[in-house]
Amino acid sequence: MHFSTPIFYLVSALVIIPAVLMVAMRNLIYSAIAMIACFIGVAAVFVTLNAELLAASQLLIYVGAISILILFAIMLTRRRSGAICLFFHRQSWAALPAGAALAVVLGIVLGSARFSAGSAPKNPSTANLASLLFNQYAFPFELASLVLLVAIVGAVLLAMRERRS
Amino acid sequence: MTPDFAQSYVYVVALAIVGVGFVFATLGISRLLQLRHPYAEKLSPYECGVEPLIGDSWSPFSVRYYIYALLFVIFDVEAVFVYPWALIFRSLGKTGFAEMMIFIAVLLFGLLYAWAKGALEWQ
Repeated sequence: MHFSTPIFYLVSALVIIPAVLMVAMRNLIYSAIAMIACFIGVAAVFVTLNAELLAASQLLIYVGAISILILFAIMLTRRRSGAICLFFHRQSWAALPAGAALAVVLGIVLGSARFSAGSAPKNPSTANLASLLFNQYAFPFELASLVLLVAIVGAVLLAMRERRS
Repeated sequence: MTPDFAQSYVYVVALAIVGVGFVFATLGISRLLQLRHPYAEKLSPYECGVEPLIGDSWSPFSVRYYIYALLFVIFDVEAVFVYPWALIFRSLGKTGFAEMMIFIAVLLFGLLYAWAKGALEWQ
């Protein structure tokens, strides 16, 4: 009841293209658009992993909302004329060992990790997830609304302070 | 990949094709049928009947939009919770209905707070 492994690898490989473009682009707006493409790709990866609700959330929250916030932030902060450019500080000599070290650490972690597929639920469908969320985990679900309420209050307070100053 | 699982994604692919195809078909048909007598006035960009501001198209926009974007993100997260709820809404019965109503009511307080504080005013 899931996609074959080659499709997963194909989609995963395709996602790397916008991810690299996002870092390599010198214009921030192009970077942001590459990032949105990357978000969509990650949603596709979730679909190949059978995590459909996660894919829907990825599309709704990351593609639909977070990317708009980031584009807004770019539009608000950029200077009056001309394209904003990413700053390159000629730090490739420092970036190379740092990147290599990160690759080594990730390699060790991934190599030693045991992905136990046996303990995973047999049928991780959205309906099963929903019945867990609204029966067994109903209280944490209601708490999530309080967390969101705090976020609203925080956003309003910040916006009002900006407006007054 | 079992057939019915693959089948459920056939709809997704079909919708995507129809969606993209609609855009190209609309623009293509209009291109085929249109009369073209361009002159400078006609080719100038317009916006709601007024001459557009000359200059950079990437003009920075007002910070006032940002609060709406922030609130949108929060209510977007709320919408994500509604999806799985809608899927098993019938089997959850009255308890499930109450659960979601409490969830939405708490967030409604947030909206009322933003409203009362005047964050939604366009100043």
